[in-house]
Amino acid sequence: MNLPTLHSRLPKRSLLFIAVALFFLSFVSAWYFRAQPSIEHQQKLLQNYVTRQLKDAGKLLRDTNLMRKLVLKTESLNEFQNLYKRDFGVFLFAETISDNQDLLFWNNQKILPPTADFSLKDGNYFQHLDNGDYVVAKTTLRFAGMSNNIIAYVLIPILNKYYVKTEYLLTSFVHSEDAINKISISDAPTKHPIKSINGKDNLFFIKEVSHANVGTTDLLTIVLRLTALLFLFIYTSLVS
Amino acid sequence: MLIYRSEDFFSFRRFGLFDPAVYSVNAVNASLGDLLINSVLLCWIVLFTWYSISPEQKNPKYLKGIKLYGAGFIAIFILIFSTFQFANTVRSLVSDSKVSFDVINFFGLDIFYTATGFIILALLALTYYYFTRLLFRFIFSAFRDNYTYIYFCLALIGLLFLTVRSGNSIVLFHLPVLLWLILYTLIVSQERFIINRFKITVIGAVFWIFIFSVSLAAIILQGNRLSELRIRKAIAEKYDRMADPTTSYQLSIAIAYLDNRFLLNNFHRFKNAEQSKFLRDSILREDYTSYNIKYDTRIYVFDSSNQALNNGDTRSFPELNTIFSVQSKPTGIPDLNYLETSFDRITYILRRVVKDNAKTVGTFFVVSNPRQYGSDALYPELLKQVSKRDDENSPIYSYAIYSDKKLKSSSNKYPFPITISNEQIPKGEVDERTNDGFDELWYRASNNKVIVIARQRQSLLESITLFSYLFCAFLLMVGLLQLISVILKLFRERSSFNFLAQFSIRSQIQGTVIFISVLSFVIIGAATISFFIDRYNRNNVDKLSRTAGIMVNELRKQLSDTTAFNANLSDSANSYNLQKLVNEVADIHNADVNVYDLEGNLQVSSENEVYQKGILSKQMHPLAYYHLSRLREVQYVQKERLSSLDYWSIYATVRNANGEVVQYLNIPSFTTQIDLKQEISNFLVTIINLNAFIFLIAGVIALFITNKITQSFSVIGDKMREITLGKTNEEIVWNRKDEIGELVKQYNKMVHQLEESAEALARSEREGAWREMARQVAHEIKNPLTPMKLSIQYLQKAIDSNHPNVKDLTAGVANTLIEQIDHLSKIAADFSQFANIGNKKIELVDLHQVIGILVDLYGSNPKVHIQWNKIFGSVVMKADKTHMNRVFTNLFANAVDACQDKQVCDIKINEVQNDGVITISVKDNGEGIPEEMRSKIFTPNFTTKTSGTGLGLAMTKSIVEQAKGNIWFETEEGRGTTFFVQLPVIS
Repeated sequence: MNLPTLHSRLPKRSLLFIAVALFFLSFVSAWYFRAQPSIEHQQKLLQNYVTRQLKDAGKLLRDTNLMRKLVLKTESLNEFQNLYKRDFGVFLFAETISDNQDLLFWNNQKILPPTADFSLKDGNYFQHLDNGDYVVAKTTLRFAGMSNNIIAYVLIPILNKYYVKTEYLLTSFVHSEDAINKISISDAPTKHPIKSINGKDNLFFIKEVSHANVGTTDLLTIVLRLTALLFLFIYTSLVS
Repeated sequence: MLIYRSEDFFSFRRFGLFDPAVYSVNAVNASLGDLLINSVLLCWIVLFTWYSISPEQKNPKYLKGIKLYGAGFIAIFILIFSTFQFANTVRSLVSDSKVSFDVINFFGLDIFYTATGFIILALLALTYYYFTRLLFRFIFSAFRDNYTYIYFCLALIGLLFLTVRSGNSIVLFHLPVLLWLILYTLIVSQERFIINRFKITVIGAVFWIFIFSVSLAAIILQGNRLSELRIRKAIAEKYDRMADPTTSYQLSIAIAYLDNRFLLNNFHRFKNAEQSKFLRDSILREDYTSYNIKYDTRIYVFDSSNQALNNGDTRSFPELNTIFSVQSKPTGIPDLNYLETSFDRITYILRRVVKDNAKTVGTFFVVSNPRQYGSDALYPELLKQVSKRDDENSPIYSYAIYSDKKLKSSSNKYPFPITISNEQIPKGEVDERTNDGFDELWYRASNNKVIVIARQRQSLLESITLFSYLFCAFLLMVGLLQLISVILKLFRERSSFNFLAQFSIRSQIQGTVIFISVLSFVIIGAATISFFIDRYNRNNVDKLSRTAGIMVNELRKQLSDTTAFNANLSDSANSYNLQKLVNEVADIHNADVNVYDLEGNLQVSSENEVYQKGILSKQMHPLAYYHLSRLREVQYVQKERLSSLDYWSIYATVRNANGEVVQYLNIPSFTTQIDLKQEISNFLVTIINLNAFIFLIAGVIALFITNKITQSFSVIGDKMREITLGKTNEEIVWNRKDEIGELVKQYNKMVHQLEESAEALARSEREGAWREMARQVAHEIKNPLTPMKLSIQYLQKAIDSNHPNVKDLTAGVANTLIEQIDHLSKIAADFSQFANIGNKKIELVDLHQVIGILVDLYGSNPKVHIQWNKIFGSVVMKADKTHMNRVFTNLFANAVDACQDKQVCDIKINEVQNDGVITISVKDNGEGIPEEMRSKIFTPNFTTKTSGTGLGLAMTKSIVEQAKGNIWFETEEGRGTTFFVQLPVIS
């Protein structure tokens, strides 16, 4: 749209109408975000994150050809880099007779390898490690021609939490940096569970942090109100 | 303001910008964000007022005499007060806030806050400029006769104001501000003579930006000095505290619960190796977390017979007991002593004798040694708890600590003396000194302890850089306002909007020159910084490779000398040897070293804590492992990231004499990038300074170029404006053969052609006019002749027929003849006047005088009501007075004639003066002009009246156009007609 047509399509009074409309919208958005409590929104975000990662991990582990290559250490650099870029950690342990842990593959240094527990059933669990909390997906892989079972662990980081807090080592949720100000992981069951991929099993629970400021106006409302003010200013400048 | 102050409405307080810790002065300016909003609103209000009250508009009518003087004095007082407030706000923004304006230390700036600070300064300066210009309107009007009174009043009122102010520092700060105000007033008052044109050009804006940049830079420099002194004092106090054993309160909190009851209840656990490990780990983890980063803390437990209980260290009870009892000194906290191993290194030792009633069960020691880190080591940076922006880490400061007049500790960037004399010890708490281009702050911590903090003196560079920053910020702000103004125009103008048409050629050229200099700054800056970073990274990798090469060789050599190389490293002794070796190598090279086995498992690390505490896993970085293990590369370097910390990490293979890979060596290297930042900072400071001067030079060059071009255009424009048909028009003399020369050549050619055409046209017009005139004269003469002839014939007939009333008839005919002869005489006079329009006598005419006489003349008619809204003062123009009189006589006569049928004739005269032109409108309440007649109204010989020649309005139009004016009308049938006459006046 060129400028002359813009002018003809936007007479002065329309600025006032836009300002009023934006103010109205800001109240609607403020009402919407207040009506939808922060914790439910965060629960939804976290659940989406966990489900997405679990689906991705499941898809990866079903690729038996790749898994076989990883065990035999014949994967290409491209395949390796593809795994390296994942947000979750993949650890492949070989099951040995002496129950020794034989780590064959790992794709991440920041995610700690879990303690291999071969007696544990395949499934999804929530686990606390030294540098944070994880959702662990354990899968036993069997390959034709191989006598040993391979145990695959996928560790989806949920919360980074180090033994000490520094400028670099901050406690933060992986799915959203801002979430730590709103929710925390609860030791006891709450009304806000994060479920496994089947939608039935509870993996862990979250709770609202006690100091969360629920009454805070959301960013969208603020932007709408500021824009409305701007239009109002322009209008008053033009009509005076 | 009320809206944004409503907490729920915007919730601004959650943003860092609105944090009172960053800046807070009073309830109005409670934070940097509040100050920004206030500045924007104030700027908007002042600009709004400025543009609403047109600069050319005169003061209100009631401001005359004593009232005008009163307004002038009040304006002077407001001017002084607002100037002081403005200066105070600027100074408080610099000295009372955490916003850094230390522009030389580029990476010490928090870009967001500093940029906001500069935006606020630009807004304040703009607000101040327009606000004072509003005040000057009243001041200059009041003291029109002698501006010296203004300077005198400013000085007098300012000094009186300062006299009643308390506080020496405030008065000392305000005195130069007052002097500046007088100088500023002097420049502004001279503006109409010297730099009046600056108002409308880019150069004008640049001039004022220059003035304000210099002024604000001076205030900021002073604020920076105060702020920087505070910082240096704080650093000195910090160094004092660092070497102060009484600051062991952190430890006292940590050991509070390690009391006899706890130790007695848990003492049995120290006897079991596994439980002992868990308990020790638990104590260190829970209680010594924050302390662990600075101190290497170890726990030693001995039983009642002083035998070590799973201590994992060879230190014996007597050794520790001697340190505690003999070598160390008490801290004031029970059971906690300190040992000064060097001036700034203090070891803390805690001894708790565990008793069960009176019986000693054992002894519990906690020894905390300060950690020593290499400068390139990654982990100290990772575990550091101070902010990156802490001033104590800034590379621009050097420190020296003197105890008993001897140098105990210092940074190695500045040649501090080894000893100081009694005279050098400050008498007070702090003392400022300068020494060979350095500013030194001497801080007396105690009678025998002195701390010196030095910083290179760079006042000139700082002044220039500050000026440059402000200059750029102001330019951006003015550019932004210009853009907003264009956008507002887009909405305001009803007619079609042409974006480029908003800018004159002068502005376009100046804008282009400045844009090119900005663009070159951005391109050169980006390219050079990119080059710096690239070179720095290359150097880092080279340095890292060299270090790794040396380490690999050392490791290989030393490992081959021991059995550790080929032995099973699970053996604790060999593992201990390897650990010792790695620690030594790490100490020598000031770096962290990790050694991995061929499976990628960590064997030893110079900084085990990172792996033991799970910050990183004990597996080797997978990508590096792939490159070394699978791709069989001898070395692999990559950038790694942990949280927001980026660092380089090199991985190299350690091979035995047979060339077989036996281990992988890893050196993560974190360099604080101080050198790179310093280099980029210096470069940016230089380029910003250069660019500011390029701006100025470009501005001056643009001024010359545009003046030269526009001057040529002005000459051509003036000549074109003067072109008139029927007279000889001057040629333009242009000696250069440039584009303008070509234009001039074409112009001169056109002038010649025009003259020829004008002559031909004039000839043709003259002939036509003569013909028309002859026809008109014939027609006008013929009209009265017919009744004259008829009357004479009628009289002749009456005489012939001996009519009895011949005498009466003769009298009637005579009257008719006289009447027609008068009419013929009037026609002759009108034509004579019309013919004489070209003959004019140019003089200075006051239109108010001309109109005034006519208003008096026509106003004497009781039927006519005249309302004259005249502007203040006289309206002088160059014209023929008789002609002007004729113009308004015609308009008034027409107005009166138009409302003949009305009972009252209302005539309204309005005047509007703008840009050297006056528009006078004459409005009547007549019947208006019918649609079909409007196009012929100025045609000669056209009239709607029963009498008259129809030459009045034609004559009026001709006179107005000859005076380089314009005439038009607006009419509404049944409501009346308004004639507008626009004439150029001398302002």
